[in-house]
Amino acid sequence: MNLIFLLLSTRQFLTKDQVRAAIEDYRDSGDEAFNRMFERDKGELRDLGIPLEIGSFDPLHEDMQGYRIPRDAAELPELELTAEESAVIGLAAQVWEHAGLAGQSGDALIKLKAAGVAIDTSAVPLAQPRIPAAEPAFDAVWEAVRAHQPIRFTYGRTGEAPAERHLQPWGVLSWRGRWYVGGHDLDREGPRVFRVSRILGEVRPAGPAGSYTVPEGASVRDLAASFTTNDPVGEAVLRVRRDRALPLRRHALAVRPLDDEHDEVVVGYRSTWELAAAAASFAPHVLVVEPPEARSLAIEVLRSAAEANADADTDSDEQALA
Amino acid sequence: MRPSARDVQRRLALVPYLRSKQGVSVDEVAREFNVKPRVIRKDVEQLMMTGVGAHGGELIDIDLFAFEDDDRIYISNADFMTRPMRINGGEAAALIVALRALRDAAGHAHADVVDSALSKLQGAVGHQTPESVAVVVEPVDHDVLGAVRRALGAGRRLEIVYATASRDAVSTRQVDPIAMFVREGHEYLDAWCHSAEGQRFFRLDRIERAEVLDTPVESRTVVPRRGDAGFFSSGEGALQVELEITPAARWVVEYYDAEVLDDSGDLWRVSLVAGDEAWVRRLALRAAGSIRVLAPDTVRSDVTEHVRSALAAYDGLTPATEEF
Repeated sequence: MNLIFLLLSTRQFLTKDQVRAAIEDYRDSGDEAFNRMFERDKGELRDLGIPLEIGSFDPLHEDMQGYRIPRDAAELPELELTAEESAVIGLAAQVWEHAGLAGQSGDALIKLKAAGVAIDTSAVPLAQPRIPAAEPAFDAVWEAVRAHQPIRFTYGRTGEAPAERHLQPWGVLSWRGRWYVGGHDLDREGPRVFRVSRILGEVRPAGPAGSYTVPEGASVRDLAASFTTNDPVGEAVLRVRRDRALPLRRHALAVRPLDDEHDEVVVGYRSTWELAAAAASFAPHVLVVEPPEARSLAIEVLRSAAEANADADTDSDEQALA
Repeated sequence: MRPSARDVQRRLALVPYLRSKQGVSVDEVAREFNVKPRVIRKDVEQLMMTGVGAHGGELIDIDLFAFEDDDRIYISNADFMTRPMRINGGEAAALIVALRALRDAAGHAHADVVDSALSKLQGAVGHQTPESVAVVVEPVDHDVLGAVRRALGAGRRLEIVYATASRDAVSTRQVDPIAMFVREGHEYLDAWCHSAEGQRFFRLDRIERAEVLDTPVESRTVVPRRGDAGFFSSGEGALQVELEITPAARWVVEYYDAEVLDDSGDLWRVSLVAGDEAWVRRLALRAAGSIRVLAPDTVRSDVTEHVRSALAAYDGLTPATEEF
């Protein structure tokens, strides 16, 4: 910290000797120890994101290199925030459920407070999302994405043999509380998405940082959209008991009463299989009327479920299925 | 011991903060910086020792009497550092991603505020925006969201029509809202439910309608929960379930965080915690025979019973395609 304060307290370039003379710990150390400490402290500056400039004010002695911290680049510029804007920033700083990132967003908030920004999160009543990131490989993947560093890792799908994969990560995506990493799969030679929780063991670098560029237009937001939206392939007619199957009813395109106890519900569906499974899950309150292929599939799904759950020592279920 | 990077960051921010808040109490600083007061005391002691010059510690002066006797901090000779350091790349990425998630959760109502905060922040940090990170939050009905927010803000009771997914039933309840949060991509309301006479979670996308009542919320000692521990169980009851699954249903292991009891053969035996019996029944029904419920027994017979009624109902339907 001494080095930071010293370099901040001067507007001039200080030579290495001047730096050494000004700081007690440096002064009291031997040459070798001083060099080690100086390198270590410069590394610390870099890690903190504080820029260090090397140069000289003296045109006659250009070899007399000095160090300084350029104030403009190092200091947080003035920013005027309304009470509401600072409130949402305060709320955002509480969003991460991940020690490292919660710490970093908290550090950013502290810098804003130090710049005189008053933060009262109650100014805006907002739902606070929580972003968990408990996957062991998350940190390494996050860093690789930020540094554009190719990685290799062992990937294991449930029920499949784990295999080593090589990836140029383009971005990470949190969807339904799980993290995914997308990028150029060097083994399959194409874009692929991996679930971070399925990465087994360590994530290792597979090349230098910054050794590839993310293709123009490759956005994890689009990737996210492809996860969440899927246009319906058709409309299905269901016979649904009154006040039942609410999740299906919520997406209904039309609802017509059939009798005192049943409605005809029209829904869009994305796959016959998905529709049949959804209808089966609400059995016996939802029947697929149309299309016929979804109807016969729904019946098939139900029969299989009954077979799988039949008690071995009674044959009553089998009779019912006959 | 050398201070950690976090310590250094905090101490660097402390200098301009203390300069602008002369005489601030240690407790207040601790609150603002989200650390214990003793951490701030140690920071101040370290700042006094830090410095340059012949004897070290020649930069920053702290009024020792005020600090030691009144726990208040007056700082001088710190003119070299009037501004905090710039928000660095890692900090900016963490905060900006969080703000974007907040924006998605906010819906239309506060999107403008979040957007302007985002753009000012991005301007000030001067870092590239991390387009490489996306957090998807599922959208919620804006009328419902608006009503829940109004009730939370005004401290009013809410009447909600709520669909309990596992029981496939809808009910009207009066609740005193406590807090909102998002978990696994879904927004939840934590509230005191007058019907259940207990604290309950409600998924916002399952609230069919919400109306803010004139009744103020009752004062009650409640602890807002994030749903970190026992989330599923505290909301809808807990049921230990044992399943036998074919390879087609192995997704269950990860999706529901099931424990694998036996994976020596093709058929795996797994165990998981479910909300209630109806939920397990529905899982088995939709699994097309890839899931057999081993325990509880009642659910297994429940599955076959429901299939029987459904197949009978299908028999009673005139096939629509043959009507013409």
